Amino acid sequence: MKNSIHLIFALFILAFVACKDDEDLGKETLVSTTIKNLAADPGTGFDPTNGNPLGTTGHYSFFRLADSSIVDLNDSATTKWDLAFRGSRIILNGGSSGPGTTQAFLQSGIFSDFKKVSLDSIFKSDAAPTYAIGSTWSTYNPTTQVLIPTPGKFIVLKTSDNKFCKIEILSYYKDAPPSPDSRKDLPRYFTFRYVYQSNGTSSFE
Amino acid sequence: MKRFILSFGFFLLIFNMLRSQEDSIHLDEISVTATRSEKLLSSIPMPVSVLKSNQIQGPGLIRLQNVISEQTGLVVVPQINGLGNGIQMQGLNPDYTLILLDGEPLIGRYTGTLDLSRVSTFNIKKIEIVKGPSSSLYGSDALAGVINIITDQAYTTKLNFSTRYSSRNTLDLNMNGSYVYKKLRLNAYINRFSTNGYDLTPESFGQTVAPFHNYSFGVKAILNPNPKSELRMSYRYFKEYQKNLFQVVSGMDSIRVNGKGSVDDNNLNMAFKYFFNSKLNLSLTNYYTVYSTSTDLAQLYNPEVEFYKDYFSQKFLRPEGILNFRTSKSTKFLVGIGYIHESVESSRYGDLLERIQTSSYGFSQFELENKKWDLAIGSRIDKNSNYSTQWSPKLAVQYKISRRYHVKFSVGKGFKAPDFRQLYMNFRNEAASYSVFGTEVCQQELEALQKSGQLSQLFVSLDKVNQINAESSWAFNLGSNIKIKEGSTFDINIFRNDLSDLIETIIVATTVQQKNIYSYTNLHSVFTQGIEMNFQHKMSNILSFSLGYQYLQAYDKEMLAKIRRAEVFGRDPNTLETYLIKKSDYFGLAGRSKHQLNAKIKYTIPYLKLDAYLRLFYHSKFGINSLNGNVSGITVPNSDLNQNGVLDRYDSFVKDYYLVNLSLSKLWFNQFTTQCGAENLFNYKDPAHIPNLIGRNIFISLQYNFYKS
Repeated sequence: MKNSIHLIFALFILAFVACKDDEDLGKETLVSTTIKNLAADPGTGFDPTNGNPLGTTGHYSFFRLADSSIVDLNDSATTKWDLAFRGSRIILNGGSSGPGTTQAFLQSGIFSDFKKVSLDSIFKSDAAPTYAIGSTWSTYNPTTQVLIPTPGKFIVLKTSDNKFCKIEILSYYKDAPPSPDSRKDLPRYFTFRYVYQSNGTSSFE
Repeated sequence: MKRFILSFGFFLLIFNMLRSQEDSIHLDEISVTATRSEKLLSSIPMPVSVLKSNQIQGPGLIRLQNVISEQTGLVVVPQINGLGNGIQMQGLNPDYTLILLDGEPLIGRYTGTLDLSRVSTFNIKKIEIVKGPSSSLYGSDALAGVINIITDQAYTTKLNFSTRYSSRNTLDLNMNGSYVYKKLRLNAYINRFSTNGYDLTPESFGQTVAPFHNYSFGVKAILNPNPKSELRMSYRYFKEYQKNLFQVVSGMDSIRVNGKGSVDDNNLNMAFKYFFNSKLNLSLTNYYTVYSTSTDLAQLYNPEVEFYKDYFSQKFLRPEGILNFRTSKSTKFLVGIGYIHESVESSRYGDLLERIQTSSYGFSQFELENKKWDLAIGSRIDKNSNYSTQWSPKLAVQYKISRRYHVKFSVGKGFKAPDFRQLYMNFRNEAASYSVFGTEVCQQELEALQKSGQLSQLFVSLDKVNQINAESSWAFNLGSNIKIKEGSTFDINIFRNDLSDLIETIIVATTVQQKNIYSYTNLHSVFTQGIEMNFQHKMSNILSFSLGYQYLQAYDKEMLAKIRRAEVFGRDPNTLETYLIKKSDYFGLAGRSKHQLNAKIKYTIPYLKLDAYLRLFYHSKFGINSLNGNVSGITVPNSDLNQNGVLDRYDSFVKDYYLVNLSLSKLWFNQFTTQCGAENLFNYKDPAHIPNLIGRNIFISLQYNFYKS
């Protein structure tokens, strides 16, 4: 009798230790990365009379998710980048925009609550003039002339090497002011956060 | 909600305290607005209130907006540009309340709102306020209700003068006279009002409201050549002169401009009424009114350079005939037909061509009135040249449980026609980089821009931009009037208005220069609902008081549906975290307080012939649309704090506020009345959010009444 109690006790400890190991495993792979002030062809400023940007180059800023790096413009025709920004337009490396096969869709909900890409999700490629990410990730207020990322909208993306990623745009203005003012704050600067699943699974847990 | 329950409980308590008191006969009044026939107030089956001249003159309310702002459930709301104050009734915008002067509509609504300061109160006999849709009798605009301003008419020969001086060098001068000669009754009045205006933002150049002065003149003649016929003629003229001086900020540049503005309003009404016998009468009226405004601005330091010129003129002609016949002791019929010819010329329409709208209409109403029941069933058909035919039915019924206790219910449909602006606007603002096209011109303008390759994106289909419907609503009112005892009444009314096809501006296209092009379309459906309570109690000949309360909810239906589907989110501006908006987070439509309360006390010292009026008004917090900009020199902070375009509890609100008005009135030698007082006694101001709330206004006035018996 006494022995069996010892046995149960030992089993409990074993189970406890095993559980702890599982938790550690999940933790080390997934991190949320926040990118601040990614310049999306901001130019030299904007025309105060009509808010149109001045001195823009017309070039995109190319971004690689795996190591959070900016890809050189000269590598735009390669699969080194995943997505690119210019003004309020976001393009994907694939379809009409690049040589890769990156696809994405816009998801509604809470970013952190999104745990798994479901199998029946419809990923789309860019097909100019229609873009997979489109314009509904943001809302433009014609009264205040401010563009804000629509709360509760985020991008679910599949890279050219079939890695899943979820991206939430947080601000379109430099230094992500709490309440952007079209006359003071500089537009075309992205602040966003993303979770990149490098192990190839569709889970973000 | 908690406060609402508390207030409701409070009302019930007072009611229970007083209902045990003795029964007595209540003096009744005659009202004409609700059914377009003379009817005792107690037998009208819809919610109606009547304000008598002593309730207006007593506390010294000199313009219509002062009177309206003191009534339960009516809110005087400012225009975006500060020009004009309108009436919000049952939570509906000013566009939806029809304003009548002696039964005929006032026109000239600047962006939908009729400026209430145009109406002087000195010659007003009474104001009748009907709540609930009344399009079954009045057609367009009578969606929330009708306010009928009934002016004095001659019963005796008399002459009144009054003069009042108040803060900001404001002077109001009045003369009102009546003359009765045999079968002719004449009444004439003249008013001059002048003010230095006011400035809520001294740090910026120019005033919030520039100095202006205006004249009102009116004459009314009633002739009864024989006992069977009555001829009426009335004419009113209003003219206002404004002195503009302000600064226009456009990007980094600012230009100081000055110039003159004027408003002209003419109303001419001719009516003939013939009584065939005691059962049948016919009235024929022909009403003509012209309203025009003009603004001529030039640069202050460079007067040769024209800055802005604006001209607007609206004409309205309406012949109408109504036949009234009593079919039995308790039943009667009313049948009417009419025709409206309305035209507008404006510099905002691209040229000075006259735009015309015509409509013909017919209406009928059956009324039953007996010891227990009052019933009115009516409907009206409006056939208009620009939008689809409107049918507006109404049913109102009252059950008189006892002489003191009445229950009433009314249901009806109301509509508001698209106005000239929504049809013909052709406005290009180069500086602010946008254009607005009315639905009648939008198609051709967009086609022209498309042909010349100026459009970059089109958001609508071209053959659909010219489709627009009248805005319409279904509403019901359920209420009760209780006469507790002589001088003590308790009224309660529950209302709900369901509005659909609301006309709103939408972006129809953008140009290659990234300029937005706006037009109008039927978009949202909203509802407002609430409860209104009024309690009046006369304690003695010395003291009487009243309490009024309105609880209001106003929501956008699509937004509610989206919230229910968990599709609306907010973002914390600092942590940038996103969260779901729940139904309890949604505040509803902007510009509406949930709670509105008023308390009025009248205290009389009989031997001094002195009356003191103390009034308190409370408005609970309300939201504003995300302005985030510059309103008359003040930078308005962004109110949409969680960046979702929805007014929810995470946003910033305009603080709740109290206003206190106090006035004293004393009668001397039965002919002179002196008054003094203060409106907004504690000088409450919120320039950025409530630009029509002037600071403390102290006044003194003298009135002289001369009667010939």
